[in-house]
Amino acid sequence: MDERGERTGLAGGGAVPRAEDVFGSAPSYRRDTVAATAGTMDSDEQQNLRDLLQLSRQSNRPPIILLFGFSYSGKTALAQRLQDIFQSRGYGISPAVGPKAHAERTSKIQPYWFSHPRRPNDAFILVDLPGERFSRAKEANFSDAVAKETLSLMAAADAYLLLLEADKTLYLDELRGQGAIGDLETKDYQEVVATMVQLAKLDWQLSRKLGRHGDIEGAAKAIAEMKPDERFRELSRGARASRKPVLLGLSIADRLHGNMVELELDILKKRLAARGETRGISDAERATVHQIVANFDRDPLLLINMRQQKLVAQVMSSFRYFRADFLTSFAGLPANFTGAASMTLYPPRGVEQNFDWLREAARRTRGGRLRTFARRSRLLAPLTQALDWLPSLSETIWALWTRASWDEALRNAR
Amino acid sequence: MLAEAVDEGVKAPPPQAPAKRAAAPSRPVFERLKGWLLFAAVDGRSEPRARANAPFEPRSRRGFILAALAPGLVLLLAAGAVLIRPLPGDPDTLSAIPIEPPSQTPAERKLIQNIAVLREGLWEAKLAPWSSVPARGLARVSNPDVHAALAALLGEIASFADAIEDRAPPGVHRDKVFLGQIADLRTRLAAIDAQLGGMRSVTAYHLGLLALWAGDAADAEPQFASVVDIARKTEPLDAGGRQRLDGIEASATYGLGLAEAARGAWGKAVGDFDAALAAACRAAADGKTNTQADFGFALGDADLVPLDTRSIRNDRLVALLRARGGNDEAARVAVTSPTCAELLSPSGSAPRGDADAEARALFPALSVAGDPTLAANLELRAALMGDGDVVQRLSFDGGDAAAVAAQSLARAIAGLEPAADAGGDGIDRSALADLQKISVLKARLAAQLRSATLSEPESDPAWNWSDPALFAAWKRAIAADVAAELLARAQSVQDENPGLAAALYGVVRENSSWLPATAVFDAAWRLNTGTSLGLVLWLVAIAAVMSAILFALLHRWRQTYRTTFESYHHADRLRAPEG
Repeated sequence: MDERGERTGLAGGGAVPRAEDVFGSAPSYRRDTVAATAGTMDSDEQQNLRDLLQLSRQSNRPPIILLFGFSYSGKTALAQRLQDIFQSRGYGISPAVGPKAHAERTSKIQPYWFSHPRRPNDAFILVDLPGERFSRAKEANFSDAVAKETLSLMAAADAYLLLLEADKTLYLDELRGQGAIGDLETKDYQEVVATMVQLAKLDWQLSRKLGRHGDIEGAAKAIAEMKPDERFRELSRGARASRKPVLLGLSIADRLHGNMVELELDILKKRLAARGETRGISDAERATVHQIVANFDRDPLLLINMRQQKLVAQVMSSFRYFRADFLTSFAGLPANFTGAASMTLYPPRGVEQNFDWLREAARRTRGGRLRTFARRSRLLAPLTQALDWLPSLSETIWALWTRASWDEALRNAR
Repeated sequence: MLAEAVDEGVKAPPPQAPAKRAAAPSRPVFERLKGWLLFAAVDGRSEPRARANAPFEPRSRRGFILAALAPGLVLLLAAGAVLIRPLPGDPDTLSAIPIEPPSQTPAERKLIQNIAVLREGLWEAKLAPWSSVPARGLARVSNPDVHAALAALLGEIASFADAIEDRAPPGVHRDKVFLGQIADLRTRLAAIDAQLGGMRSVTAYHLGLLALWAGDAADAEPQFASVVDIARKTEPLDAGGRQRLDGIEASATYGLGLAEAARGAWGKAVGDFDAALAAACRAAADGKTNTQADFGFALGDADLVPLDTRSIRNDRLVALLRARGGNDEAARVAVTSPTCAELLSPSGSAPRGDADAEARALFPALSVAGDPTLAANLELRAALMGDGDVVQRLSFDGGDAAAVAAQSLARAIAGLEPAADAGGDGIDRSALADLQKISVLKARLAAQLRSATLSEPESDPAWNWSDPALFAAWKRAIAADVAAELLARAQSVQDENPGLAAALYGVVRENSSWLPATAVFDAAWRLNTGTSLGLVLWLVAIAAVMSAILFALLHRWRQTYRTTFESYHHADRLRAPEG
C-alpha cells in the first residue's frame, strides 16, 4: 500500500489514480506558459471554428454545449468519458477524443460533434473552450479576432458546463496551509474562479448587446468599447437572467477525496488550538471526520455555495437554471492503474446523468425551428422576449428559495 | 458537515454549526409555517434525510397531494359554511301543482314528423297576377301590338286566378283540365316573351306564377329569381320608379319563397318571405300607404296569412304578441295586419324557447273568429299539447277543405272525434294512433297537476303502440321534464315562499320511483341545504381545477427541486464496486 492509497481511506487501500497520472501533470504554476502559446492558431482549428460559427447561424442546428474550464481541470478527460458513454449508446463522435500529449496542451478551441445515426434530433456539439482563451480575450480587451471568436462562441452556446477542480475550489486555503500548493498557485486559482465569475457576468452583457445590435460584430464592438468595470458589472436592475442551463462541475473529486481526511483533521486541529485546548483528536471526532468525508459529495450545491459564495451568487444571478455536482471522469479505475485509461471499466452514471440533464435542458431552452424563427424575426422577437421574461418553476432560484425556507444551513450560507 | 477554518487570513465559511439549528424559534411564525409547508409539499423527504440531503427515493407524496388539495377543500368548506342552510318552515299543502304541463318530447316530435300537416301547419299561399300592365317604368311594354296581346293575356290569367282563388301549392288540387288550362296560358305567354326577346320582368313573373300554379316549382324558381335579379340591379330614375322596383322585388321574392316552400326548402322559403315583407314595407314607406296596386303586390291581411299562420311556431308572432301586452284585440291585429315596423323589428329580440309554452300564451289572448286557418293551426297545436278544451273552444264551422281536415285531425288527436277518417288522405294512421294515446296521457297528467296528485303515467294494457319502446321513451322524457319544471318552480319561489318550495321538493321525492334519480337527489339536497346541486357541482369543479393547476405547479416545482439538489455523483459512488 503506498502513501497515497492510505490517504484515501477507501476500502481495499488501493490508490485512486489522479488525472495527472493518466495524462501527465503540469508543473505546479505553469499556467502562464500555457496561456502564452494561445496566440497562434493553426489552420485546422480555424477551419473547425469557422464551420462551427457557420452552423450556429442555422435555425435547425443541434444544441451547442460550451465546456469551459482552465488547464488541468479535466476537460479533455471529461470529453473522453463522454465519448465513451455516448459511443456505448450508439453515437458517433467526430473528431475522436484522445488523450493529449504533454506538448499539445494549448488553449485550442475544440468542437466535438456527437451524432446518432438514427436519431438526428439527439445530436449535440460539445465545444471545449479553454479558460486561457477567455483570459486572453479579456486581456486583449475583447477587441481582436480571437476575442471575437470567443464572444461568438459564447453567444452561440445553448448551455455551459463550467469545470472547476474540486479540491482547490473547496479547500484552497486549507491546501495552501498544508503546503500542497504554493502562494502563487493559490493566487492563480483565485484568478481562475474570478474568471469564471467574469464569464457569467459577461454572458448577460453579451446577450444584451446582441439584442441591441443584432449581430455579433456589433455586439463584440460594443463589448470592446465598454469599460472593463462596466463589462463585468452585476446583473443590473430590471435585467432578467439568461435561460441557458449551466452545470457547475467539480472535477477530479477523487483527488479531493484522497486528501480530504487530512484536510478536515487539520481544520479540526486548528480549531482545537484556537480554543486553547492541548489534547489530541479524539476517536469520536476522527469518526465524525470519516463520516463527513464518506458523504462529502452528498450536497454539492450547498458545499460550493458555502465555499465559493461569490461564484454561486454570480451564476445564480446570471443564469436561471443551473445545478452543481461532482464530475469525476475517472472514478472507479483500479487502484494501481498506471496505463491508458480504459473507459469501459466502470462507467460512472453520475457523469452521464449530469450531462443528460444539461443536454436535455439545452435542447428544451433552445427550442425547435419555430422558436428559432420567432427569435430571429423582427416581428416576433418582442413576443419571444416577453415570454422569456416570464418566470417559470423550472428556475433554480425557486428550489433554493424553498430549501432556504426550512434549511438553516443554506439560509445562513447565503 | 464541514469544520470551520479559523486560521488567520483564511476566509472562514459562515457559521453553520448544528447548534444553530436549534435557534430557529427566533423566526416569525409565518416564516416557520411557510418553511414547514414547502418542506412537506416540495421536498417530500423525512427530516433527517432532507437535512443530510440523502437521495430523494423514497420521497413522500402526501404533503404534495395535501397542499394541492387544500385550497380546493378550503373553498368547499367555506362555501358550505356560508351557503348551506336547510329550508325553513313546514311544507304547504298543495291544492294544485303550479307548473306548466310538460311540452313535446322527442318521441312525439318523431311521430309529428310523419304527418305533414302537423309538421308544417296549415298554410295558405296566395300570389296574385298583376292587375294591369304598367304604363311606365321597368315592366312597361312599348311595342303596341304585343302590349295589347299581353294585356289581354294578363286579364285572362287574372280571371283564372279568381276562379282558383289565387291558390298556390300545396293547397291546390290539380286535375287534368286545370293543368291543361295552365299549359295553354304558359304557351301563349312564352310566345309573347319570345316576341319581346325575353328578360322582361312582367313576363318572367307571370311565367313563374303559372309554373307555381301548375306545381312546377323547379321552373318557377328561376323565373322569380330573374325578376328579383332585375329589380335589384335596376337603377330607378325617380321615387316612383324606386317604389315600383321595391314592389316588384317584394312580389317576386314572395313567389320565390313559395316555390322553395313547395320543394320543401323551408329554411330558404322563410328567409325569402321575410325579404318579401321587408321589400313590401320599403315600398309602402316609399308611397306612404300600405297597398300598391301598381306593382301587383299588396301588403294586407291576405298576404300575411301564409306567413303568420305558419308562425304559430314562429317566434316573430309571439314577440309581436308580447310587445302588445297580450290584449285580445291588439293581439289579433298584431297577428293579422302588423305594421311594417312591427314586422321588421322584433326578430332581434324574439324569444327562442319552447313552442308549446308560447302557443299556450297565445290561446287565451287570441280570438280566431273568421280565420279558419289560424284556428285550425291553433287547434292542432292544442291537440298536440293534450289540451282538449282549447281544441273544443277554437272549433269552427265552414272554412275550406284543408282547414276542416286539419280541424278533424286535431279533434281526433284530442280524443273528441274518432280517428277513423280524420285528417283526410295521406295521414300516417299508426303515428296518429300513438299521438292519440300520448294526448290521453298528457291530458291525464295535466288533470293530475291540477288536482295535486302526481303519479306515474301508465300505459293502458289494451293499447297497441306502434313501437313498444315509444311509451318508455316518452315517459322518460316527460319525467325529466316534470322534474325539471318542479325544481325550477321551487327554486324560483324558494326565497319568498319556502313552504311552497318545500312542498314541491316533496312532490319530487314522493315520485322518486319514476322521476330521474338525479332530480330526486337534487330535490333532497336542496330541501336540506337550500343550495342547488348545480351550484355544488360548480364549486366542486372550480375546486378541482384549482387543485389540478396547483398539482401541475407543485409537480414542476418538485422536479426542479430534485434536479437542483440531487447529487448524481454521490449515488454513483455509493454503488461503485470499491465504494
